[in-house]
This record gives sequence, C-alpha cells and structure tokens, in this order.
Amino acid sequence: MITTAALIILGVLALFVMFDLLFRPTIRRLGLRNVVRRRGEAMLVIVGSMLATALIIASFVIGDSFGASIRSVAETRYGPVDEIVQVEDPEATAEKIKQGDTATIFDGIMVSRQADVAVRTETGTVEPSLRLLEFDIGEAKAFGNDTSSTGVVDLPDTLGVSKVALNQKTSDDLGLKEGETFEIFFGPTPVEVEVVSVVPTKGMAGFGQIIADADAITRISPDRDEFSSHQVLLSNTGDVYSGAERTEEAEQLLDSIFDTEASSETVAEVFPVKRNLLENADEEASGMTELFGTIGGFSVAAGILLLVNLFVMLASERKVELGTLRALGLTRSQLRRAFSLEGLTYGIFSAVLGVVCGVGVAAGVMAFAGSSFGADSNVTLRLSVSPNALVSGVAIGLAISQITVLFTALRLVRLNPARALVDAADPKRGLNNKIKFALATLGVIAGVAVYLLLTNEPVPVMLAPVIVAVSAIFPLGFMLGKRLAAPLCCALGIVWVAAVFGIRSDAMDDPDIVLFLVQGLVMVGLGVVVMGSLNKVFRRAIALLSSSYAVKLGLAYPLARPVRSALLISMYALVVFTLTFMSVLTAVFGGSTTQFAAKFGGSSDILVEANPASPVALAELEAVENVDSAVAVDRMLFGYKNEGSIEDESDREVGSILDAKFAELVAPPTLSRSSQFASDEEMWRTVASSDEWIVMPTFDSSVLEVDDVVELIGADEQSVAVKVAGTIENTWMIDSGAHLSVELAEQLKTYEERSSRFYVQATEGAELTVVADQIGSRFATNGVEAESFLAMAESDTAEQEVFFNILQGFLGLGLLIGIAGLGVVLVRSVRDRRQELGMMRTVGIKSSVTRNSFLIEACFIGFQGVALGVGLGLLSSWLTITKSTAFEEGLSFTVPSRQLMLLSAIALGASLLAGLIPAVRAARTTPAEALRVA
Amino acid sequence: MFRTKLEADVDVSLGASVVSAKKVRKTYRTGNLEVPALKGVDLEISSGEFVAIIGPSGNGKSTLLNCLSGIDTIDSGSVHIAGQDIFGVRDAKRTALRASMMGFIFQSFNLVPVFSAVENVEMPLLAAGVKPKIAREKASRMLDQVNIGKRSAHRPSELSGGEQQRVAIARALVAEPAIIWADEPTGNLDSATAAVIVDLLKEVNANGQTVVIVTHDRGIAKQSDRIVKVRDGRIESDETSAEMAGA
Repeated sequence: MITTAALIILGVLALFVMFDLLFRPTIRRLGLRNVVRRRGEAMLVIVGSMLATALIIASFVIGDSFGASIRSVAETRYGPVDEIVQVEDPEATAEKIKQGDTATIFDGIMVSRQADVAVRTETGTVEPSLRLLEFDIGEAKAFGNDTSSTGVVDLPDTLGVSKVALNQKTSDDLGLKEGETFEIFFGPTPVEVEVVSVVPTKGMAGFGQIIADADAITRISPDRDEFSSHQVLLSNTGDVYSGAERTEEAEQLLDSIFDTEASSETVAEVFPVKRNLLENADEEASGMTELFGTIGGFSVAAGILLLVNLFVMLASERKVELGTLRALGLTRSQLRRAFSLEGLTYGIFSAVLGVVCGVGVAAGVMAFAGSSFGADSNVTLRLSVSPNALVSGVAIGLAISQITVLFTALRLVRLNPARALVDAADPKRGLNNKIKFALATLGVIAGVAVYLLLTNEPVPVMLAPVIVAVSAIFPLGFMLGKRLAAPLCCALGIVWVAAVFGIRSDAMDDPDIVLFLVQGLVMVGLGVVVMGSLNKVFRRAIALLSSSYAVKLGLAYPLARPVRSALLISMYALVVFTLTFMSVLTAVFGGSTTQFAAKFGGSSDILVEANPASPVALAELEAVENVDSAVAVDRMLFGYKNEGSIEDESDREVGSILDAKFAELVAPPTLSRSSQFASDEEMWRTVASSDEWIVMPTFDSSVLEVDDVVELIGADEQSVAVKVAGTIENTWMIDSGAHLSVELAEQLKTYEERSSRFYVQATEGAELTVVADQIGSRFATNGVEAESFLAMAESDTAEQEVFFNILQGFLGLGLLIGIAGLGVVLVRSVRDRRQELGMMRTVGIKSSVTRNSFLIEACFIGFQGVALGVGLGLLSSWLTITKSTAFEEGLSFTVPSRQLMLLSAIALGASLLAGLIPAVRAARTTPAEALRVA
Repeated sequence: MFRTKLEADVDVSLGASVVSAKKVRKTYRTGNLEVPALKGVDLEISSGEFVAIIGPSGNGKSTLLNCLSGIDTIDSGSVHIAGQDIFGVRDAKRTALRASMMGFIFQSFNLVPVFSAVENVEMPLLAAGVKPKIAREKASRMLDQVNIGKRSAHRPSELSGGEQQRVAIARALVAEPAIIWADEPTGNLDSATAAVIVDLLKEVNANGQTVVIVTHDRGIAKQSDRIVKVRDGRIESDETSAEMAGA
C-alpha cells in the first residue's frame, strides 16, 4: 500500500523531471550542475539523506529475513507434511481418507506414531525430551511429490528391531554416531537401541529426532498406548511451500470425510502445521518490518529534517543567484523544478548507496541476532534479500525525500528578487491576526471534537489535547505574551503526551508501536519549542560561566537562527529520545527478574517438568538435597465457553490442577481478584477446595474478567459452570494456564493429559541453579527438566536485552544522520560565514577562536539535542512504566545512568567530531581571500 | 577626539614611517592561470598621513591594501609596520599586530549579522583580551561618537547602509589603532552619507591616526594628504594633494 503510493508519487515526479530534462535546458543545467558544483558537500548531502533510505530498506530486509528464516522451518521440520491428523485409530483413518476423492488434493497419506522420550548415551549424556517418530520408512520415502524433502530418502526401507536413525542435529547434540547404542526411556524401563543411520535434519527427520520403523520401539514398551499418540500425516499436492496453499481445501475435504460432529466412532483433530508455520512466518516478517520500520522512523524523521535544513541552506547560499534568475524571468515554478531536479539527483545517488548500506545493516542485525538467539532456537536466522524489499525501501525512501524537497522548495522560491539581488533579508511574512485567530479557534474546536468523538482511539486521544494546546498559543499570547504562551502551551502538551498512558489507560492499554513513534515525534517537536524559548536563559547562564569570546561566538549563530538550530536539535533529540526510552526499558526489565520470578512461581523456587511416561515420585523429589518441599500439579486440557466466546481450538485451555498444598506453597500473586476474597491466600485456598471457582491466566482477561461465569467443557462434552476467582500472569515459559481444583477436574474428564509438573521450594540459602541441576541430573532418565524461576526470568530478560540492544544499534544509526546533518550544516556555515570569518580574522580574532567557536557551536547543538532527548525519554518512560497499564504492574522505574552517560558522551563526542572539519576550515580562512571571495 | 595608541616596541609618533613596503610582489593563481596583481611595489607611509590609493578597477588597489595590512600574503618583498616585518613573523603574531595596531573598514561593511551593533564594535577589544564590561563601555562610547549610539542594540539587518558603515567605522576605531585601512568605505553609500563618513575619517586622521583609503572617488581622494595611483600592479604616481591640485 505504502509502496504503491510511493511508486505512484515517483512515477508522476519522473514524468515532470523527464519533461524538464528533455525540453527545459535551463532547468536541466541549473538542477544538474548545482549537484557537481561542490562535490565534497554533495557527497555529504548524499550520505546524510542516504541513511534514511538505508534504514527503511534495512527494516524491510530484516522483516523478510526473519520471515524467510521461519519459513525455512517448513523444510527442516515438516518437508512434505502439510497437515497432521491426530487420531486414535490411524490405519482406519488413513484408509477412510484414501477412500474419499482425495487424489487431487493429497499426494501423500501415511500413518505415524510419536512419543516424547528421554535418552541416555553410554557416555552418560542425557536428553530428557526428544521426539521419537515411527513410521513405514519405505512409504515415507515416497511421501509427497519431492522425495528428497522427506529427509529419509537415504534410509533403507526397514531399519530393524531396536534400530533407529537420528537426525544430524540430535546426533551432534548427543555425540552419537552410526553403530553406537543408547537407551530410550519410553517407559520406566529403558530400551537399548542402535543408531544405524544419521540423516539430514529435514522433513520427517526434522519433525522426529529419532526415527524408527513403525511400532519398532513402542511395541516393546508396556506403556505404549498411554504415552504415545498416533497421527495420519498428509501431504498436499505441490511442493514444500505451495502445498500449504491447499490446506483450506484439505480441511474442508477432511471435514466432509469425517463429519466429526455426527460421528462418534472417529474423533480426528486436524493440525494444519505447515500453514500455521507459514502464517506465523508472514506475521513475524510483517511484525519485524513494522518494529524496525517504526524504530527507524525516528531516524527517517531526522533524515527529513536534515533534507529541509540542507535545502534551506542551499537556497540561502544561492540567494543572489536565485534573485538574478527571477529578475531574468525564471518563474518560481521553474526554480522549484530546478531544486526538485537537484534533489532527485541527490536522491537517486542516495538510493543506490542506501541499498548497499541497508542490506549491510540488515546483514549485521541478522548476524548479531543469529549469534545471540541461534543456539537455543529451532530457527536458523539468515539474511534474505528480496527484490520487493529493495523496491519498497527505495521507493519509500525516495518518495519521502522528494516530497520533502518539493515542499521545502515551494517555500524557498518565494523570494523577493530585488532583495535577493542585494542579499537582503526578506521581510517576515505571516498571517494577519484575524486569520490566526480563526485558525486557532478552529484548532481548539477540532481538538476537542476529535477527543470527544474518538475517545477510545489511542492516536487521536494522544494528539487532540496537543492540537488544543498548540492552537491556544495565539489567543493566550495576547494575555500572557507570546514568549510565555508558546513554551507554556508546549510544556502542557509534553506533559499530556507523556502522561496520557496513565491518565487514559483505558484507551492506551494495548499500545501499538506506532503510538510510541507519534509520542516521540510530538514530544520532541514541542520540546524544541520550549528549549528555544529558553535561549536567553542559556545565553545568560553561559555568559556567567565563561567570558571566552569563542563561547560567545559559538553560541551567537545557533541562538540567532532558532529555526535552523531547532531542526538540528530535533534530529539529535528524536534519536536520543528513543535510545533513552529503550535503555530505561532494558534496565527496568533487567532489574525486575525477581519480581518476574515471583509472578510465575509464587513462593516456590524451581519448576520441574517430568515426562509422564517415566514419572517421578513426589517423595523422591523431596528427598533431593536442598529441596525443602514440592507440590505436584497435574495437567489437563479442557474447553470453555463464556458469553461471546465460541468453543474452538483457541478456546481450549491448559489446566493446572491444584490442591491445598499448592495454595499454601506456591500461590502466584494475582493480577485481579474477586472482591469476595480478602487476600490472594484466601482465594487460592478456596479455589483449591471448591468446584465453583477457577483462576484464569491473563491473556484471556480481555475476554474473561473476575466474577465472570465460565462454562468448562470436559472430554465427553459434559460441562460445569464456574466463576473466575482471579487472574494471574502467564507466560510461554511455564504456560501454567488456568488453575482449578482436583474436585473440578474430576467432574471434567480431560481431553488429554499433559506432563506432570512440580513446584519446588528450596531450603533457605540454597543455590537455586545448583538445586535445579541436581534435580535434573537425578531424574534425567525420567525426562525431568528443572529450572529455577529466577533463571527463567533472567534468561527471558537477557533475550529481551539482546533484542533491545539490536534495536538500539539499529536506531543508533540514526545518530549518524544527526552527525552528518550537523557536519553538513557546519561545513556550509563556514562558506556561508566566509566574509564574516575573514573580517574577524582581519580585526584580530585569532584562528583558534574561530576554530573553537565552531566546535562550541557543534557541542551546543549536540548538548541541547541530547539534553532534550534524554530528558523527554526519561519523563516519558517514567510515566509510561509507573502509571500505564501497557506494561506489567509493579515494575520499578530505573534510570540506567551509566548507559545514559555513555550515550550522551557518544552523542556529544560525535557532535564534536562533526564540528571538527568545519572548525579547522574556519581556522584556516585567510582574511583577504575570504573577503575577496565573499 | 581620538588618540593614537602607542606601544613601547613600535614607533608610531607623528611623521615616523609607519608602513614601509619594499618590492612587494603578489600573483593570484587559479589552476594554471596566473594573474600578477602587484609587480614590485615600494611605498612608505608616515604616521598621521591620510593616504588615498586610487586607480582603475582590477589594477591592484585592494590587493595592495590587503598586503600592506597583512591580511593577505605576498610572494616576495617585505612590509614593515612600525618597524616590524609583518611577513617575517607567524600568523598569530601578525593577527595580534592587527588587533593592536590596525582598524579596517570595508565597502560591504562586513558586520556579523547575528551580533548587535555594540557586539560588532566590541569584537576587536574582546579579541585583544579586554574585559567584557570595559569592552562594552568602550564600544557604546564609540557608537555614541559616530552618532549611532541609539541604535546600538540593533542587528545589521535592522540598520541602513550608512548606519552599518558607521558601526563598521566604530569597530575600526574602538581599539584606538594606529592605522585605519579603508577599502572603498563609501562604495555602497549615497553621496550625502559618503560625505559624512569621509568627515569622520578626516576627524580620525586629525587626531593623529594614519588613514589609508582605497577609493574610486576622486572627490574623496582630493581630501587626502597624499594620492597614490596604482595601475597595472605598479605605483604609477605618488603625489600630495597639493601637487595633484597644482598639476
């Protein structure tokens, strides 16, 4: 959509440009020759405006790369398998499917059996949870239309009794080679098996880590029926990816075959695994593009400001020329078109460079993300560059730059030729007071109307009061004076935008990332106005601190040119604001691991997951050294209905069956609780002993609230009505789901049992990691995995931190725009002020003074940008974290002072660096030459 | 009204040689193109003189002034200011010498647009290390003396051409320099304003300060003590006004 709009804009622009290039030689000469007039500076312009394009391209490429990386799991985990049908009688089901008219949709139908097993090698390596997959290998080799995608094509048709194949990854992880043996704990008694082959990790050999002949292992286990499940694997016609496009047809066909509603003899559940994966990949791609695009949006905004600044300076430098051209008869339109042509030329060079840099940035991000997340992830992150990403990035980057140039040029060509010829300042133009008053009134009315009408829309809720505040500047100016009215109204606007997450949490409880972009842009815009109004204060304060002439000179220009300074300050502040916000978030999450751990584990310390195939006795667990006590929690699945929800797969809930001991020893804190309970403890005790109450996880709180009546549906469709006693935090890390009593669970027969779970409390002072390791190794062959809640929280926040660091690095590139912008502006300033510099040197100002004045000017701009960015970032993050429901409750605001000092030092150092070359140039200005050239 | 600033190590007493140029050569180079601007100029200027440099455009008048004042470099020869070889010292010393001994007035005023009138005038004093408060007082007094004190808080863009040139003159005089260099100071002014400016310069000269003015205006030249005519990079004639008038 955005790309199409950008392409249309560029297409229209290209038509005009082509016309001028071919038929308007004056415009062509002006536009093109000005580009090469000062090549060094043209390069700076190109580099400065290139960065915005590069970041846009990078965000597209990063999104595509994440998407493509996840999509590639379709090959490594599923191969030709598109749907998995979970059934009790696979042979009959497969036969039933084959009997239907399915040949046009399916090119592979086969049965398999899978089980979650623990393994132990001869060297003692233990892996508590691996998937054993059994099927007819001969049949699997011919499964689907691309045998190589099955991953088992090199296996013999039969492996033999007690023989297995491992996929490459499992072989590497366990250190097992062909011919070696290991034990599988499919049930309490181990089964010794031999590795006969190691196959590539893909297709069915990716889905199953251990491959065996049909029933080869499970048939020798007495617990096979209880702890394994049967599936029919289906391959749709088409290749690994295109097959998933037929999933909907496949589902309809399967529905018609099974008619599950009517039939009670075959209960089949269809899992469209491939389509789900690919949809997830697309969502992830678009989410990543949006995230990086929005974060990059701050830098793009800085890039726009840079372009505006550059063209304003270009026009200022060429004022006499422009006046002459107007006097000679060139129209404003022709001058604007010459600017546009010049801008387009810069834009094209920028776009080409932007492609190279954007892909480079994306490659860096993916490499860093791959090295940070790759080891624990099933997804191998890799760079994927699609032509679409490049076209979109270039088109959007170019369109933004050209629109900016166009609007800037429209303003610039409105000059008075006579005044321009003598390089005199144009008189200030402005609207008369009546029009200003009308516009202000309109603004106030519009703001109030938007606020009242769109009362639940986050962006209008955030912006409407700002519109009112800004519109009120003019009328308030009559009462308070403009110098006071403007900063006052803008400061009020800032306070509103920063505090809106807390004040209007009802509209802001699920904020979109774009909202943060809007918040940043508005706060910085208003902040720059407030900062500008403090100029006199700055000047006086600095004059008190230093009487150096270089300081006086260095501050004179930025203070005398508030608009130009505001643009530069905004470029810095936009980026620093976001970096500050993210630094605070990183610090807050990093410092809240104990809270997170308590949120999920309650009073317990360690979570133990056991394979139900090889159960652990509670007493044995409690006998482990440093284990004080443990609570066993059984798991189940059930359905639920309440008003407005429809029972389907998404409404199936994991249930944790709790008893009185859980209420006493674990009892995670609630997020909300029915008023019928005086405390969390009372609530947990009641829920554990009642068949009337249930505790629901938070992700359902948008549907379910405390005291809601929910109908729970058991395995045989029997239902029980219960009330929601409270809600608790949930996370993918432990997925505790809903909590209900044993009594209630007995009334509902479960759909499916899940692995047993234990909450362990360690003895006082025990090292939790050590205790978890002891439990893990003691019960490894039971498929036990033990980890402390604190370690889980730390690992989670560490991942968040890595991700934030990636985003910060990405955003940090935006600082380059600010630095480039400041550099370009100062380089141009040396030219702009050449005459003045020459005069100063003539009257005896030392070269070191002119040099230092430029460095001070650079630092002053940088300092204001950094101060504004850090200040607003802290204000916004403090209000958002402490007052808003958008983030977790109970987070304590932390100022990452070391990180912020480093950020400020880098930004200020970079400013100094940006000012260095112009400063040296200024110092080298020879008086006579400067005066002569000027 | 104006006093000549005397320094211990330089002799700028009335009648002493304050500017001495010997065989000064200067060539402009642009790529392969060489344009000789000064072709061995010899010139002596005594303290307290009012010297006008005249000649056709492009014949080296301004270049001569720039080289004599040390704001441009020379290819060969020497220039002594009050006995000091200004091209025999480093740039920093030359700059300090300008700050202490010279004032400059330009055709295009060359005021710093972001400074007010008084800030422009105090600039040479601050550059010479005078305390800001004293510099401000002196600058204000100087603006009063050139009859523009009421406009001292205005920026150049808010002043007329004549007012800007008064500010420029005030800036040139505020450090009480021994020599005032003026390059076409009336070139951008109407004749009435130009006359006022010339009167100011004459007043300065009458108080003992040396004034060297580059001008196209024969009327202004005639008001000087001495007229140096430059043609084709050489001094074609060097006569007193009286001699010129007699001729």
